[in-house]
Order: sequence, then structure tokens, then C-alpha cells
Amino acid sequence: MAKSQLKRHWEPGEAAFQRLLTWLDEGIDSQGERYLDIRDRLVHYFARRNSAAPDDLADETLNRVARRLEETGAIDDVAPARYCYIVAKFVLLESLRQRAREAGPLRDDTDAAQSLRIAAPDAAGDERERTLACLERCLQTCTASDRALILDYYGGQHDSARSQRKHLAGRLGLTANSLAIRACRIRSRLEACVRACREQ
Amino acid sequence: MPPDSDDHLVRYLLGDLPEAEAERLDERSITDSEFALRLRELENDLIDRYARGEAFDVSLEQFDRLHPRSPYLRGKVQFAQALHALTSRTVVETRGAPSRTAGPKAASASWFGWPSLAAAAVLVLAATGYLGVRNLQLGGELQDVEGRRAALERQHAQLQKELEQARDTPPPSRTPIIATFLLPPPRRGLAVETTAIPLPRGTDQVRWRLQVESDAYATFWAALKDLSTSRIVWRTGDLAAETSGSDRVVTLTVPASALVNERYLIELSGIDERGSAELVGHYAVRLVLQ
Repeated sequence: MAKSQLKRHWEPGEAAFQRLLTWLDEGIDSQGERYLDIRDRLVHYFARRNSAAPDDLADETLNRVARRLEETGAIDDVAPARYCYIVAKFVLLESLRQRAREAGPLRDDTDAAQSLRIAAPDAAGDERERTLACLERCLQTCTASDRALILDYYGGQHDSARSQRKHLAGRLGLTANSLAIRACRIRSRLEACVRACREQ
Repeated sequence: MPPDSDDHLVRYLLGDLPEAEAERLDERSITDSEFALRLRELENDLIDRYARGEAFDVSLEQFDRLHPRSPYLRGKVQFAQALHALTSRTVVETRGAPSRTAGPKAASASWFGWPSLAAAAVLVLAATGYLGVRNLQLGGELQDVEGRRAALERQHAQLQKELEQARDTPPPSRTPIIATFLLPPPRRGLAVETTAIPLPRGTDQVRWRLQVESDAYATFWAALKDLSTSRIVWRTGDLAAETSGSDRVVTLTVPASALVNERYLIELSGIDERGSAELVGHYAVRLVLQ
């Protein structure tokens, strides 16, 4: 995937990054979890908006928020998540404008990605094999319990998934909601790992 | 449609809502953690069903149009396909796998030098006298406790065994019955001809081998439309054409459980080099249950 062409004017130093973490935590030390959570939501927001480089745009958004915090010392007129959304909207608009300027008569990143798709008759099969190999490699980086959980959670057919997950939650002593949160987080991590592996 | 119903959110995920409403949900997807999770679950569910080729709602027609254009969705679908392949394989493997027990650990005391060992031995000897007396006092109590513990362990092991058996008992397996049919290429300029398909009772899967005349495409997609409801009831991922004699054939396999009515239309599309789908032909079928 092509990297975003948005220019980065500023990246937070350690102190600015710590200030960002503290601000996002809103008084409850989450050990960086809250930052990861917001970043993940931003990545999905940009991705749903069909951005070619959602990770880059999520980072750019959080860099801008950190910079604003650095400049003003505090942002307390709006909740952190909402402020991040407002900044993300601007970042998205800028990236769309930039893409439109650069695309011109040429293909944009999305078109390039499409054309890769049917590069050769066996390309789809190769791509699948590669993704599978990456997933296996990424699963090895998970703990044994996370590995078992994600394979059990996403293992069933749609019809039986609900009862299977209920059973799994009972076995693990979790509520259905806690299990869903845990499974979603593991899946997000794995997806990011597979994306990175495929880009290597 | 209620504003936060699953169907509404699926429309949002498929980019099918007015911009103002999409923005409202965009904001919630970042500011509301429960909503973000629900959205993620719906999205994963949608993609998993698509990747597994399960029967789905008509709204996924849009998913098909959207997914080649979105690197994000393409990546998610590929991930889901890989996860599905892996979980299917894991189920098969775990059924036959021997249980693993932890072996003895390597000699981790190798760093433990002889002088330290000698000092420890002296301490152990000194302590032995005291412990010997104390042991006699505690011996009786210990025997009782051990007895109770052993009984509890036996009980626990028995319960565990019963639980494992209940969990792992596979459903009775049999070879799936697959009915295979060859459909000739659609004739140009003519109305779509309906082919009658005799379907034996108890069929698990129906496999259609669609003859195609065009060799312009390396990849195809097929959609199965129920003509009595005009709904797409089945859709494939990428299909490759194979050569069979002088013909090119695309094979489509559909679970019989997805075929609840009689008349269906198979729409076959070729995917060009830009990733766009172009209709190659229609194949009309009428199922005759035998």
C-alpha cells in the first residue's frame, strides 16, 4: 500500500507523547491502552473512508493533537475522543484533496491496488497463500491463550456462532461482551501484523 | 429502519447512507467505545460470512461492488479467508492430535556451583532433625488431608473427562453428497434458456460447472439469484476458469441448504485487469427435487 503523501511537519518528542497519553486517559492511567484504542478507531475510520494509508493518517491525526497540546498546554473544552475525531476529519479532507490533485489523469493508489489484483492468473492464489503464511507467523507471536481464543471465537459458521461463543464465554468465565472485546482486540492486532507482514 | 439497527449499520459500512448520517456514525465510531465495538463485530461478521461464502443478505451485492475498490476491505477479506482456512484446518488437526504434556525441564540448576551445593547440604542436615520430629506430629494429619485431596482430584478428573468428552464428541460424519451439473454457455441474442436440474434428495452441495466462451478473463465472480424473491442468495469470491477439452469452465459450489426455492439465475461476471466486473452471461436453472 502506498504511503500517505501528507507532509509531516511535526512529530511529538517523549514529553509531548506522554502529555498526549495522559490527556487521552482523562485521569485514569490506562498504561497506553486508551491511546491504542483511539488509534485503532481512527485507523478504521480512515479505512472505511477508503483511504490508501489509514495507519499513516491515524498517526498524523494523533501527532496534530499532541502538537496542539504542546502549544496550548491543555484542551479541556471538548472530550479527547471527540477532539480526535474533529482533527481526523480535517486530516481526511486534506488527504482527499491531495489525492485528487496528485491523481490527475493518472491512477490513484486505489486503482494501483486494484490492478495488482489480477496481475497474473495465479496471483489471487499466491496472495491467499501469502496471507495464510503471514497469519500463521503472526499467530505465533500471540500467547497460547489468545491463539486458542481467536481460533475458537471465529471458528464456527454464522448460524452456530452465537451459541458457540456463549459456550466459549462460559468456559473462560467471561461475559459475552468481555469476550467480544478481547476477540476484537486480538483480531485487530493480528490484522495489523498480517498487513505489515504482507508489505515486507 | 431504526437508526441504530444492525441493517442500518450494515448500510453505513457499505457506504450506502447519506453523507450527514454517515458522518454522525463516523463520529460515534470514534467517541463511543461500545458503538465502535459493535460496528467492528458487525463488520467482521459481514466479512467472515462473505469470505466463507455463506448465504447472505441482498445488501452484500454492494459489498461485492465495494470490495475490489477498497484496499482496506480487500485486506480484511483476505485476512478472513486465511483465518477461515486456518480454523477449518485446526478443527481437523485437533481432533486427531495426541494430548501434550510438559516434559521435564532442562537442567536449570547447572549454574548452581558445588560450594553453594555443599553449604545447602549442611543446612538440610541440620534442619532434618527438627523436621523429623515435626513430621511425626503432622504425619497423621497429613495422611487425612492427602486422602481427601486424592478423592477430590479423582472427582475433578472424572468431571473434566466427562466435560471434554461432551465438548469434543464430533457430530456423526458422512461423505457429503455433491450433485454436479454442466451448464452450456449462454447463447448471445437469445432469451435466457432455463435448464432443469434434477436434485436428488439428501444432496449437501450443488456444483455447477459453467461453460464460458470468453477467454478475456482470468478471474470470475458468480452470484445466484432466487427468481421468486429477486434476492441474491449466494455469491462467490474469486473463481478461476479451468480448461476442459476445448472449453473453459468455471465451477461454482453452493450448499443445498441455500436453495429453498425452484428457480434461480446464475450471473457470471468476468473481472478485467482494472478490477471491474463485467457481466459474462446468465444461466437460468430450475431445480426439480427428486
